[in-house]
Amino acid sequence: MGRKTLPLILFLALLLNACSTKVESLYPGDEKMWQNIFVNGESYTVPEKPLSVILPHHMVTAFQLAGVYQSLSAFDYSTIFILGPNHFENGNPNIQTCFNCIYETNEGPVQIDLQLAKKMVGDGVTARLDKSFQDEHAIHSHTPFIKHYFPEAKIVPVLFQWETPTGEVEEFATWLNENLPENALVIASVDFSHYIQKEAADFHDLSSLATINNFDFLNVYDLEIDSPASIYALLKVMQSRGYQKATRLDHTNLDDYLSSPAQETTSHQYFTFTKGQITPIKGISVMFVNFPLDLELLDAWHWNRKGESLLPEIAGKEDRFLMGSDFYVFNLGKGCKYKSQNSLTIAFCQGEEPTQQTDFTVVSSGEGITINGVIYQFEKDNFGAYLTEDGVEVFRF
Amino acid sequence: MKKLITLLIAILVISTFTSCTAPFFQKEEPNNLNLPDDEETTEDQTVQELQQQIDDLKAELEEQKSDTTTTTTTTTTTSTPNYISVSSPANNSTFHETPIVFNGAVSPNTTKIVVTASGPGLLGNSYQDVYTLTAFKKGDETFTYRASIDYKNLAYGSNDYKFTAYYDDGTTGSTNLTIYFVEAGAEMGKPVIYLYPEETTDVFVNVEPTAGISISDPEIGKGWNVTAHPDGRLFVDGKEYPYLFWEGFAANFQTPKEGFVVSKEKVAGFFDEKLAFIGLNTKEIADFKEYWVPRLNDSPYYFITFIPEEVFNSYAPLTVKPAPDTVIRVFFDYKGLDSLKKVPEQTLKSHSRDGFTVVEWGGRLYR
Repeated sequence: MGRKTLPLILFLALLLNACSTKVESLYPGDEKMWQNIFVNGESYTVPEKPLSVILPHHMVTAFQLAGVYQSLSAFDYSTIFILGPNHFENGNPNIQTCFNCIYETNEGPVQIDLQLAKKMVGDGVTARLDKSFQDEHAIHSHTPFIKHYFPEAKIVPVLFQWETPTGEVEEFATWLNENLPENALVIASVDFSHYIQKEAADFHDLSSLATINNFDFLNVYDLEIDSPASIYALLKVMQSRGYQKATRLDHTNLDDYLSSPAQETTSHQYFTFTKGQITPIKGISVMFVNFPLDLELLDAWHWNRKGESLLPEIAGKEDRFLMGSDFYVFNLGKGCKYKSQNSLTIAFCQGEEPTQQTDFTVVSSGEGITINGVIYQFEKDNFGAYLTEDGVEVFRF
Repeated sequence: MKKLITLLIAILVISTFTSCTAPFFQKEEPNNLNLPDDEETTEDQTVQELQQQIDDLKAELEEQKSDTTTTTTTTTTTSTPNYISVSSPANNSTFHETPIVFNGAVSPNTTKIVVTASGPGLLGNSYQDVYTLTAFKKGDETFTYRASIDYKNLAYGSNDYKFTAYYDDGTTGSTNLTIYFVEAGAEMGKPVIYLYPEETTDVFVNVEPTAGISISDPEIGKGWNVTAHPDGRLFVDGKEYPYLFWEGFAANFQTPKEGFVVSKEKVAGFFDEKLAFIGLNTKEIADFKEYWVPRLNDSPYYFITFIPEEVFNSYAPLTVKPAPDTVIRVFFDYKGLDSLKKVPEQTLKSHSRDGFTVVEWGGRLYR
């Protein structure tokens, strides 16, 4: 080999090696910060080995995340799938993974399980798009915890686009169920409510809690969360495996960390899924919208990403305020409409009593609304208080 | 040997290339380049030795640091006891909000206090800030220091502070502490610019404060190229931003004498009224108050004055193309007061939001 050829080959080798996608976590090189997080995370009670967890990626929750990972470290996990939202909507494929991502942490890099990632792509359920993972905090928020608590574990990162069709997600879930190795953990890296006040976020989070707990697949895409597809896929796999016992370890909101309430908050829920059956939560969330529109009763508010034209004043950023409720009541038409959710049936009527057997009735009249026979008058200031006294959770906007 | 080297390099090239182009080729992750070459080995040994020396020095430095990480350290004993201590916050405290207020005590013969703040930063963008407490005078026995991302003396992650007192006998004393600031995702840092075109429009925006931009998000470069939507959503390079944010410095900034004196309790209501009068909408007023009201909370009264738009334009000229129909630039200055004070009342200009509207608000940051 000539002297001129060697540098050329070395140059090419270095150039091509740049194809690796180096992904930094937050606080890179800040060992003191990470030690502070690991030392001060308080563990949760996790008596049985979960097959999956839902965890936030909003790093205000770093101490809670440390607590959950610390609890999980009582069990052995060698392969960890992390499913999360493609926040920046990089690339076209709906479901993407990475082969050459190097997730740097203070304790060394977290390795990708290349064999599984390649099989996933080879079997056609995901596409490889390493670049999408460069700044994706849905994944890199978790890698320092994984390295610290499961130093030998390999990860398989998966990103979902916002509107990934359920058919594609189901194919992915079927593949994951068939290929999930022993000692695997599936993490859905999902933040819940966004950009709205805590009271409204809590209201939406109740819907999310019931939907997740009840494995209510029809409602997952109506939740106010940042990655319905991640939750959908996780629930499908857990259903197939009989891991349907959902336990919510914690529920936090940005406001919990601040001294005064923020106008825009992010909320977080932390779930584990262990072997067992569903313990249903009964509950229906209804938003009464006192707005002069021709709309009557809606099952869900579908996010209009190009800007809400009907209710711009209250829609909030990304229509978040209007998402996440099971039903929306505007002007009820004559007669009764019957809706079911979470094993409950509710009748929405105007001017007449329901004829069918229901768990809950809402009758609208000129005076106000009658809920299970109790009249609540809209104009009364304490309308919400009356409902609360009667066991109905209320948020007034 | 040369043949072996050629072969190894060829394998390396092929395997690296394959990792980029042939996703189904089975191989190990090319995380590290290891060239088994004699020269390389010698170089490696040298590098390792140097690395070892660096590590030893680092360890020594860490040891020294841990020795000094206490909340009270005094120096040379003289006839007057010299001391400096920080009473709050406690060492190793964790915070989610700013500003973080440090309170401390020093011996009355202290002539000045210098604070050095440093940290590795949220994304590895380390910082160091050195600041002399300007409000501190010889004879004072207490001091206050505020840290905030806006002041560039705080970053997400760990932050080390060294408070150094200079005593009148020529000696110095210092106290160190570490605090942690957790990334909370809250939008911080102002002024901010909102754009409301009548239809989705590609807009060029540039702001050029006389003494330069210090921070911007998204990165301003030679100006922002923004896709603006009528509902206020802004996209830069496909990424959505709630507004365009910049911070900078103005030369020869002068505070108007006219304004308003407002009690601390009424600051929020004052801004509600005045900002609505000027022409800001509910969302913009809420954003403004979220940022500024907590900052006007230390004194019983505040003098608040708005910089006239034409004056502010001279401090920070704003360019928007295509030209907007309405521009509302709100920038205020303030000063804490111990008691009520009479000031000439300021006359504010109200705007109607017609056509393509640009709104900007901000204020003067004090350390």
